[in-house]
Amino acid sequence: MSEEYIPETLLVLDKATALENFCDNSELLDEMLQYFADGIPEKLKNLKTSIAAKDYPVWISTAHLIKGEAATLCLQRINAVALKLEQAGKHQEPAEAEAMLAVMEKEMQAFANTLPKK
Amino acid sequence: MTHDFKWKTAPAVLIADDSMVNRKIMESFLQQFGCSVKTISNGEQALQQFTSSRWDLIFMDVNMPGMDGLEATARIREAEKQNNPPSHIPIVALTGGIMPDEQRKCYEAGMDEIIAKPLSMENLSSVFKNNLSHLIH
Repeated sequence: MSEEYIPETLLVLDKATALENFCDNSELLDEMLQYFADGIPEKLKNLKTSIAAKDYPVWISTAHLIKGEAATLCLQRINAVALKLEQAGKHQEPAEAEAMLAVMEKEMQAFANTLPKK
Repeated sequence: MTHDFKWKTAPAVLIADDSMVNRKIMESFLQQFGCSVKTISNGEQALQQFTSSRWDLIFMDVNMPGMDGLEATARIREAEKQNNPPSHIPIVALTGGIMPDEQRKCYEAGMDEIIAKPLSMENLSSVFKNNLSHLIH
């Protein structure tokens, strides 16, 4: 299902590029990745409720926020599906949003699994 | 890692971004450049900060809830025209996309430069050279 929305070549985390952007400050990168991970439950909740309610402004702004943060952290797959969700919100196309949301949840989990256990 | 900018005076930089992750990253990057940094999360606060404090540079996210970065920038430019002599603070757009239409809107609103996410120390370095050369030794 992910393949419909995310090109196969994209990585969960492009760590090499992320480290380059962070000037090899791996400590800061790890801190920010964890920070992003800590916010996942709230972001998913906001996406789910706004999609269910067809609340397009909140839907679009939440997807946009995830897209921007994922881009900064080089979370390529989350970034790609967030872009699709943002576009679906802009075009008011709820039909596929549930499927996209499922992919987003899967990708968020895949990313969370890359982090050290707390 | 500390970046090698020798400032005449440490620049005061305002960051307006609704993403807490991006604010934290920007703040950390800018502190490594030796900047004095304040972060806020929307356009209304940017306008308020512009009025109440002195800034050398503003990084402005384009899409923010409430007053977005475009409107906040346009209002700042309007306010600057009332100053005697007229002033101009560099405002750099932070955006996730660099579509021509979005670029046009940024420049029409009065932004000086656009940097696309992902943010990096390299593109910040370039922003300083372009906009704060008067503060660099």
